[in-house]
Amino acid sequence: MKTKKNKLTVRNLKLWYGESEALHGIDLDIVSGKVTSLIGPSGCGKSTFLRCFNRMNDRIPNCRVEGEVLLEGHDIYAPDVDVVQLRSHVGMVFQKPNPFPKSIYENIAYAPRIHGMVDDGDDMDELVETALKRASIWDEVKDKLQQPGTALSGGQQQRLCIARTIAVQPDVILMDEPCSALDPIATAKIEELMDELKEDYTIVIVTHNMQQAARASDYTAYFYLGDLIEYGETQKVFTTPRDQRTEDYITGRFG
Amino acid sequence: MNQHTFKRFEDELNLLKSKTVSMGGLVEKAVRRSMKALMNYDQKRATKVIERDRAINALEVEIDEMTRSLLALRQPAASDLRLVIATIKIVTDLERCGDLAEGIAEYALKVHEHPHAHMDSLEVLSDRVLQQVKSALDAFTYDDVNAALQTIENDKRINKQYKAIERENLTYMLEDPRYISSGMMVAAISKNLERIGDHAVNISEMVIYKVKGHDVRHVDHATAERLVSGELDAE
Amino acid sequence: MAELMLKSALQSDARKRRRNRADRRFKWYGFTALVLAMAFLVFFFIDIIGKGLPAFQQAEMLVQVSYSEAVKDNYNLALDKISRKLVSRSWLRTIPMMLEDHPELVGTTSEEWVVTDYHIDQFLKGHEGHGLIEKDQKLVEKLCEEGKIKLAFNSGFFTHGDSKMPENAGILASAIGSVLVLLLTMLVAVPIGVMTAIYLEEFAPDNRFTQLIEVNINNLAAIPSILYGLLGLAIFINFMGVPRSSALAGGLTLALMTLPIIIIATRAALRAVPETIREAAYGLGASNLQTVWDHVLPLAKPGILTGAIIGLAQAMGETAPLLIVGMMAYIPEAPHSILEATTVLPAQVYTWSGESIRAFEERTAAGIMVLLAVLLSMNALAVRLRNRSETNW
Ligand SMILES: Nc1ncnc2c1ncn2[C@@H]1O[C@H](COP(=O)(O)OP(=O)(O)OP(=O)(O)O)[C@@H](O)[C@H]1O
Ligand SMILES: [Mg+2]
Repeated sequence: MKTKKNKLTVRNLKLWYGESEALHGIDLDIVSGKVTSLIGPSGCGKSTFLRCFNRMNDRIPNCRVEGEVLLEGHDIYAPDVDVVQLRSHVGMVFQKPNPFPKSIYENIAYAPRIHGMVDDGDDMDELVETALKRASIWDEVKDKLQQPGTALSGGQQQRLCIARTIAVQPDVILMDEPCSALDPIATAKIEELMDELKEDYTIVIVTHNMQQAARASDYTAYFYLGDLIEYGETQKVFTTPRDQRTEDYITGRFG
Repeated sequence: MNQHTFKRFEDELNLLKSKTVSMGGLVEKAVRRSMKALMNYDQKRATKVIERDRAINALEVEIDEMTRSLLALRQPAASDLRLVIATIKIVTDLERCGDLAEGIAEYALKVHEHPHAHMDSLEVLSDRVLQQVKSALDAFTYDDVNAALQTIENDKRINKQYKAIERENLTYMLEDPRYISSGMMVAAISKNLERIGDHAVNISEMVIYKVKGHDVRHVDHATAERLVSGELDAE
Repeated sequence: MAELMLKSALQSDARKRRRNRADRRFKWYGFTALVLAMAFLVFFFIDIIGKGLPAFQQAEMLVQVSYSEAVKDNYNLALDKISRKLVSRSWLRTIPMMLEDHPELVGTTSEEWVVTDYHIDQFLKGHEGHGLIEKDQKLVEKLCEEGKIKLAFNSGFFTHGDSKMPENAGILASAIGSVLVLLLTMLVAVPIGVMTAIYLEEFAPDNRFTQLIEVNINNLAAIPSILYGLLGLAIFINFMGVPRSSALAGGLTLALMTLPIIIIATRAALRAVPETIREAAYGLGASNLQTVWDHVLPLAKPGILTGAIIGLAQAMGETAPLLIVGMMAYIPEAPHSILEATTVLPAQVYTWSGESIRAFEERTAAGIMVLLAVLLSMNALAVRLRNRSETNW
């Protein structure tokens, strides 16, 4: 058995929104090249935790973080870390598909351009094509690259957003309930996509869909009221959870 | 444990369990009655046991149907999933036990042809086996892991006794060839009883899987105990 | 049971009838108010247009002009005795100047259509109180029959500055003044306002200080505009030494007044950009500036433009603050630079409305018509931009 490599290491992570503590000291290792799902009841801090990985919480006034989040051993909350650089390594896909109101091509090309990855021209065309192919949406959009990304269907928009994220070639992709607005077919496509992408990327996904966590992830973390209750291989968590609270949650016994 | 938020699901799970328990009750009764018929040369009772086996088979089909629909419609997880899986297996074991009891009852119909059969030791064995079936079913009913572990452990004694009966039977047959046909009957019945005991073990193992999530089917008793107590992790 | 309740619910009872009556009554009140408002508006338009339209015509007279050396000293000599009385004196006065510029004309005569005195103009338009004496009335009527006096398009209204003589007064100077002032207002208020709004909305930390600024900006938008005049007077004229009555003083003062409007409109437009767009950009590693510049501003642009246009339209129609900085004066010449004394369209309208000569009344109305036309087209542009901005994202 290959030894597990940790992409992200979280040590005693605490987070406050103003006076209220939303995360109470989380310890967790995200395994490289795997899909890790975060589950738990609404308001338990999944999104908050996810957004610690690319420091999206920095944008929220009065939000304070304590503890360590290491990306391959480097503390991403160290004072000398460039958030812009960090976010090019840790990409994010949001709950509601949010393509820029620009052309499909421009949606993909934007981030590589601002990061100076390639210049406009043939190289950029190639990069856009690769990203769209990687996100399995190329065939659907190749004839309308100049049309607005907002004119696509919800599922296509979400795959466009995934393509936009992988165009930057991040190490980690964070997804916050990426399928909550999608139909089962679009959802299946995205799950299939995650399965393909995990060869090259480490994926962390927040989901409310128990079956989705079971189907699509290798590891599952159960959060409850700002605490990490249980973390382990998905197969174990879903057949023999160790903690009663996890058990109750995944079997549908909500208090 | 909390109540299921979806009440119908909770009801269905409870119904599944109670049906399995009552099927176990039927099987237990069938074993006891078939032995009684045998010992008392009671053909009428034996016929009844054979007839009743149909009810057991019908229950098996019904419970299977329930587990199928639970899996398809409710997508059970964790303990619910383990209950459904355990039930599927336990029901098969119970059905086999029913068949074995029916087999004994069929011998009871013909036992008068063997007036000299040595059946005393069978009675002792059947008492033990019945005890096993009963404690396995109780363990299932009350999610009692220790009772289940005990049942698994007790099976060794049954096997020992079965071996003893086999040897004893063999000596009778060697001593006097007239005993050969009745000896073969006793051998077959004791074999049935021993197999029923094995099924009780299977049921107990499923109880442990259901409650703890550990598969103790092919590990020794000490390891099983350590697994159950949580001292040892599954790998 | 349930059926019974449903049945009674569907039946009309006293309470329902009462409710329906109240509904109808309320509709009536609204309708009446609307009709009343429309009536006022229609009355206003009819009144203004009725009064103003004649101003776009002007009485002209065909005269024999003889340019002689003597004319340079006494312009009256350019015409015969009768004509001399009837034509506009303001035209007569320009003859010597013209001869200075065109000496080759000396010794020639020509036949020209010339603007008449405003009394004749008013008489021809049938206005009461034209002030033309009986004898001249006959004469004018005769000349009309001969086709030597007629009403023609009043091009002077658009090509002349203000004048004490109504037949010569036009809106050119004030229109140019308005354009200059508005340009200055725009150049100052739009960039500063937009930048302030962007800073407050996208960059500033949310603390006491920025909250204070926010409250103050909202209050500024609500204070009477005349106070801005006083502020402009104090800051720009007294302190900074900007010339009084100049387009610069007016433009800066109006910029001061427009600033809060533009800031508020811009902030609203920025806030209307969905947060998900910002998240998308930040999530891709765009910096603050890149996010705002590349994604937020393009989406907010129509809203910002609409706000700016409405703010400028308001500045365009403003008079009170300009009164204080001295732009409400008699300034007949169009300005040549932003430092020269200037007047603006609404100020011109105001000046004319105070004139005692009746002939100014129609020019006042015509001025209002021009002002309204400009304001309405600016608002129409704003509405168009707003409609265009309703893209889905
Ligand atoms: N910007 C914020 N300011 C203050 N409190 C916040 C903020 N965002 C989240 N919280 C609080 O932090 C807690 C965790 O919120 P979070 O959004 O992480 O929950 P979640 O697990 O993602 O829930 P959901 O499944 O509904 O998305 C909640 O109690 C919430 O009220
Ligand atoms: Mg969330």
